Amino acid sequence: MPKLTVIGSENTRVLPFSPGSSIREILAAAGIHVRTGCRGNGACGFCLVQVEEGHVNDPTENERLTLSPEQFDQGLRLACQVMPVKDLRIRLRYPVWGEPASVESQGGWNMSGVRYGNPLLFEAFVKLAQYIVRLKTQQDVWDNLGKFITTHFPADWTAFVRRDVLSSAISIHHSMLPDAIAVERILTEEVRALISDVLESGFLASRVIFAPEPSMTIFLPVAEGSRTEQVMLIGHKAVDPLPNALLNIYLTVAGLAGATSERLLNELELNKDRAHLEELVKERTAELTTVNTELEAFSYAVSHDLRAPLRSIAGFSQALRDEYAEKLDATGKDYLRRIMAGGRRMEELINALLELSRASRSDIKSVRVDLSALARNIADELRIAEPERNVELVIAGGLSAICDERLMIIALENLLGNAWKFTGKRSPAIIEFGLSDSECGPAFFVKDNGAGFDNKHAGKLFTTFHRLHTQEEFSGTGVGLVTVKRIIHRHGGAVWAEGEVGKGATVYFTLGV
Amino acid sequence: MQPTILIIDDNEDDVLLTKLVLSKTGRDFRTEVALSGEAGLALIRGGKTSPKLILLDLKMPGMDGIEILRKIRDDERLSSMPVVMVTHSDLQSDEQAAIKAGAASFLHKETDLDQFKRDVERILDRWLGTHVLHQ
Repeated sequence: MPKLTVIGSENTRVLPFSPGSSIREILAAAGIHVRTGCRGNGACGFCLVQVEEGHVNDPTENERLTLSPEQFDQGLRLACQVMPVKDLRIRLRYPVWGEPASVESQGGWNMSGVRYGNPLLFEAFVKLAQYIVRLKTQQDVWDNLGKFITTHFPADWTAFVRRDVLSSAISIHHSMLPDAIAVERILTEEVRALISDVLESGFLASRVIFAPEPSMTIFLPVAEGSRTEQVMLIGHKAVDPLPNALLNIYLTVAGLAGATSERLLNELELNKDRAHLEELVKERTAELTTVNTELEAFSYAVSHDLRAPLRSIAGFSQALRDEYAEKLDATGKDYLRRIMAGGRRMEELINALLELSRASRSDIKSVRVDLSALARNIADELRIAEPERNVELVIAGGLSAICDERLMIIALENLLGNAWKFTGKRSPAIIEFGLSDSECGPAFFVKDNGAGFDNKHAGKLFTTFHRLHTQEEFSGTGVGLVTVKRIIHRHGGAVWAEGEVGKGATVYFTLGV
Repeated sequence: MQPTILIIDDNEDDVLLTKLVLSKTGRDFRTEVALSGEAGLALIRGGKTSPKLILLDLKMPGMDGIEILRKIRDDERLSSMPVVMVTHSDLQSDEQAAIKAGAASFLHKETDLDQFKRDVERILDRWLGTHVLHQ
């Protein structure tokens, strides 16, 4: 028997043959499939081989139409048109699907086959891969994949079929079928059953279906993540079995279709989520605006409406004391003193609440603020108010931060004021303002050696109206540290306190701005 | 002639306290009182009184201080009359609104009468000036 020596891209095979078959048929019998688009009549020019040694028949009429003189000079011929009779050595040219990979290695597109086989195909694949990630609609994905398949492979049409999740109804949602073919007509009972099988098993299937001409059709599962609801149909008018390598490429393309569908679905979900979030933000903003308006009304009430009756109480008791003191006995004067003390205390509370409301509402105007200077000013005021006290104020120099100066004054007034107040029974009192390392990074601190507090109450310090001391021990409103917390939080910072009963307290804060 | 200070305020307690504090400044003037914005406006528009200074409460039912002030400023005969806006509020926005509407000054109704008296004296110094006869 004469032998056909086939030099491939990676190995060489020797195939004995009986004269009377074309090179294409001899190769196909050995499982080496050259590309064809014309079922072997020499019209498509795809099945190029290079004759290196041996005698061959003269070029056929179809070869003359398809190949150029230069190609003949190089020994190029069409495998379907050469019928060797004696020993012959040929070199395979692209496109060739030889030495196929197994179907089981799904998605295992043999890159070397592309690299050494068909550079045009390789390029097309690269372009497809680059292009497909930018596609915005499912329609585009189907169009582009269908076009890719029918342009670069011996396929004649493609279609995508989807099974409805709820009704399990199977329908074609996209097709590139020739016009003459009624789309729904190809979905016979048998075809539907086959599609169901492919969806269940996740494996490809091939079947000749009538569309209406016989068409070798490959059914490919299109997996979108863990779900498989789509099948890609690739139809070939040539009903020959298709080489495994080609099926592998198809599987890869179906994989791309699935991955891209999944991506588009995810994007859709994300967009929905985003729209939902935006809606939520709008709602919350509206709620917040309402709350803010209420807060404004509240702070106006605190500032104005509560003050009016208070002023009557405080003002007239003062007038009573100034004008009518001599008409009151000791008990009467004591009552009057208590009314006035109550009035003062109420005014303190009103002012504290107003300050808290301001700390919550006012805009933050961030500038670089010299905190050391602020602390020194506040310390001076405290000294002036109680010059008789023996207090050592240690204020670190050069401390500054980006923050709202007005709010920062309120915060430091509260912190240094607290330190001043709670060291009232110490001599000498030591109050320190500085910067230290903490778990949260560098933190400012105000430290005193005053009454201190039990650390297990540290959390409660920053809640409204919560006080750790009686009014008789240390006066206060229970609002100051809440205001400090609000101010620090509005700067994106954190505030916390450490203390020990009888030893003193330290309040730390950071400014996140 | 004794200058007149007109107090327009719906809160009788506040009127009483203002008069008390005014009397303690030891200066020579007459006070007139209107217990609503409308009544105050009628008084000065009718020409029955020509105050040298108006102490106008900001928050009143009916026409509030800002509205009254605008009407005074819009009236050619009254437009140069000094009006001091008086209020319990220490909101900056209120003060700004009053100044914008043409208030000559802003007086906070301090709870501490000594403080209130100091503020009132500053106002009198500025707006009654030489018209005030010191005792």
